[in-house]
Amino acid sequence: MSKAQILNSISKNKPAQADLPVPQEIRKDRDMDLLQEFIDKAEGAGSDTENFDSFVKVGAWIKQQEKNGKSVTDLSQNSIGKDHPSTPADDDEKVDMVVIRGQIGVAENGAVWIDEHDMQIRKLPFLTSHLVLVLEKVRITPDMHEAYKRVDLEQSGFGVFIAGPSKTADIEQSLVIGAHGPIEHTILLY
Amino acid sequence: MKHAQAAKEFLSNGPRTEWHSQALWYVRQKRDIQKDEIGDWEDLREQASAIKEHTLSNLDQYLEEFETKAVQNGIRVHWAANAEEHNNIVLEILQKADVRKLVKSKSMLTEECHMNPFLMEKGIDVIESDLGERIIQFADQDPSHIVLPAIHLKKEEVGKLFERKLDTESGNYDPQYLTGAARKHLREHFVTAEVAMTGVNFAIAESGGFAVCTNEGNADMGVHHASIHIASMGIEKVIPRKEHLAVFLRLLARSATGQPITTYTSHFQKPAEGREIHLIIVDNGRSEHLGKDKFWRALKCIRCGACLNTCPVYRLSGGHSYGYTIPGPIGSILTPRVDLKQYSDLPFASSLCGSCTDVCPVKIEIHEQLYQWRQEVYEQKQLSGKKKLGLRFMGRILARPRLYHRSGKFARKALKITPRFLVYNRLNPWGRSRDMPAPPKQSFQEWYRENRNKS
Repeated sequence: MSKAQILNSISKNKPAQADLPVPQEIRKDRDMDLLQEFIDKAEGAGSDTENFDSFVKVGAWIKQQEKNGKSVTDLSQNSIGKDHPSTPADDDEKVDMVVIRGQIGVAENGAVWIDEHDMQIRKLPFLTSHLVLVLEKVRITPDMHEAYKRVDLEQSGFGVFIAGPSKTADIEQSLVIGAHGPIEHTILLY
Repeated sequence: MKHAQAAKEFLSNGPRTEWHSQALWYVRQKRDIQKDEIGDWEDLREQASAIKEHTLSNLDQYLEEFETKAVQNGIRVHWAANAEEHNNIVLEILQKADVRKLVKSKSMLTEECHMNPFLMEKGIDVIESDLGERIIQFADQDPSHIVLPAIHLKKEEVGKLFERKLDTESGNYDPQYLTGAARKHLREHFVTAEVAMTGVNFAIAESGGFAVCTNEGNADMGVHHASIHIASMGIEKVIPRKEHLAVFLRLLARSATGQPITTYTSHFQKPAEGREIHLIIVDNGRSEHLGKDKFWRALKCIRCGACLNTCPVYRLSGGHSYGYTIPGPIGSILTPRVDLKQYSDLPFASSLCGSCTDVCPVKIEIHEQLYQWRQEVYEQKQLSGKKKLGLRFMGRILARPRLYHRSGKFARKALKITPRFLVYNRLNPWGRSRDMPAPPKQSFQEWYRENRNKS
């Protein structure tokens, strides 16, 4: 009932038809160094970045974390956009570090896109105190326009752009890293 | 209380007012840096404005398209014509699930609907999980800013509040420490949440999903633990396509807090296995506003708060002085349609400097609408007595050139010799905190007559 009422009221009141704009050609400086721009912006958002020349070295970095005594949930062996055969642990207290493969990196803001297939359990990337995202350098795009060309929203039930660790400035505008989500955020580039 | 009176109280503590003003100006400066860093800011604003105008002019179709897709995705869609319907829908969902606690993230719409007091009266424990919102919930206040709800509070005040509510160390006012205490406290609520609520930043018609932007991760911590997610959106939140998200997301955080993007931009498409997403589409006066020729463009607003941060009146009077959920310039053009009589003074709470219009990422001509609302207030006979008297008096003089010249001549002489107490009295509220300008020796016309033949 309310639906009909609302839609009627809109159709009665809406302003004269305005056309959608022609999408503009955005970002003229396409020849920028995408990798460097991405690293700068990611670090600006509070991320640590590590730059490797192979996926093997990424794996070695992760192994080292386990050796250092962290409990690591490692989903980096997943193929992107596909479910992992085993269900990861999601014990609220015990997930020190979660490693997830990123699908897209955005140079203009340091954000990385992951969807439900990549994270397996929706709460994992938020719950852990240290989120690690593994990103292939060729997957860095210049800006959000390019990123959304590659994002497939309908491919999974949930997806998120993440830029750095969780943060707040709600007390006197003082930036505090580690609000409700991760306190540390690392991007492993290869 | 009227804005001018509340502002006067806010201004009574000079150093504190200055501190408040500077805190907001700092955010405005961060915004400027971000805007200058990308080369196509003005193009983006044009795009955003045009996309919103297109959407609003086809809003019924886009809402229906969105609903159809959302239902296909397994999202349960509810429609609420007003605040009361909205609040009852939320209550019913909670009651049906037999849940007495609601963990919620920030939503200006639920504030507008006064949902929290309604639910609390029905025995529901409402937990605000955004740090700023939790602080003001502890303090039993309303948010004073749409993005920075506790911007009016000092860390010492937050510390003392936390000492009482969260048993933190006495005298420890370090924001890092206090945030840590809130993190621990709210985590207990997140992991036990059964029903969680969020707002909606953008709903995408073509795919039937919606996006929520946060920095703290509280929205996601709540909804991914809970088995029921309730999301509320105003009818104006829908956008046509995914590609339009890029335009708005590039503008939103840069305008709001001076970040290139918020930490989390979460896209909810379908409920997780065995869980529910309820989406409430709320009108509450918006569709009627859409029919106001001079004012419908205010519905383009994406709630970034940039116009608040830049406004000299907002910075020096504080959000609470406006007496409505959404304060500042954008609030002053949204509230008169809610109740013109009650909020008739808000369009006057502005210097009409136009800074709000300059910073608005969706190009709402805010200061022009403020000016238009002033006409509306006059036409609907809601102008206060003193203002009406003053305007009528000035109107008469300005409409009669000879009277105007004579009055000017008289005033220039009179102001020089009139004792101070006669100029600054109860009939001159303007002069209460301001000096009249020094009277010039002659008017421009007199000067021109004298000088026009000199070359």
